[in-house]
Amino acid sequence: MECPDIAGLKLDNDDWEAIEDIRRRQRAGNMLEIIMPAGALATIFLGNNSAQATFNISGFDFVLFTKAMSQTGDIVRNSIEKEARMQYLSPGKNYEQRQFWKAIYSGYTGEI
Amino acid sequence: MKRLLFIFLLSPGFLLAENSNFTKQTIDLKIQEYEEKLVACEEVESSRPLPTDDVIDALRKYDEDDVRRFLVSKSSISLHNCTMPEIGELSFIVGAILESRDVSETNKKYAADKQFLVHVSSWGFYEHLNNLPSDMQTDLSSYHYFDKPFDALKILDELEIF
Repeated sequence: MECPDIAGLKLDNDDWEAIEDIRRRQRAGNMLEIIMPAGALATIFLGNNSAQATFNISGFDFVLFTKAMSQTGDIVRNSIEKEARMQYLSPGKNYEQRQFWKAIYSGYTGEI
Repeated sequence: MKRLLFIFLLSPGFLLAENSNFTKQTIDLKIQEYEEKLVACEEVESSRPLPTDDVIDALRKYDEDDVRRFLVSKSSISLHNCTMPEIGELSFIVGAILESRDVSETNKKYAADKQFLVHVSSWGFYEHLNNLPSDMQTDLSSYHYFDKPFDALKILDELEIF
């Protein structure tokens, strides 16, 4: 599967709640914030974001995110994937939101 | 000297320290066992081939949204079931620690964090499956392919469902 580039991603309240849950998982597990490289996904998962913000995410960001997740421990990674799966299935998501959560769930390892 | 050591060993502080260690070590051991099983189950998930044509044809009969919900939820539940009994033992130990009157708040917090990691989001997949049309549930439950961990995204790609 190819890593998608996502332009103009706008996250809704439900997405932000899921992201807050993912941050809580990171805190309960290892230190994703220390090993996560800079990029749009770092801004989303580690930053202090406005609900109104719009994001452009490159396929390479997803590769870096997958690499960071692989170092958090298998239980934390699996737990984050579960959250992403649930968001991917959540009704009322637009194409970009679904693309975003599917990419988090898929765990891209290199094909861009 | 020996008497002093004996008194120290019986002191509440020492007993609490031992208990604290034992609690955390037990959780960590159960987590390690669960993690090893999870990795083994994920290997099964990623290595399984696509289902046979009859299964793919059966899936094509249904609405795309329902197929997506079925495959993603069922694969999550199959992966979860594969991690039994380890995930069950971890859940029991964590639950018992959280309900115990003899465990410190620090250790309860540690147990609660682990419980959050293991359980959060899981129930939603059962809800999704339960909300699917009953004829679809009955039909697809006869295909044993879905009883073991499988890669839902690989099948969705095959079906050309985003």
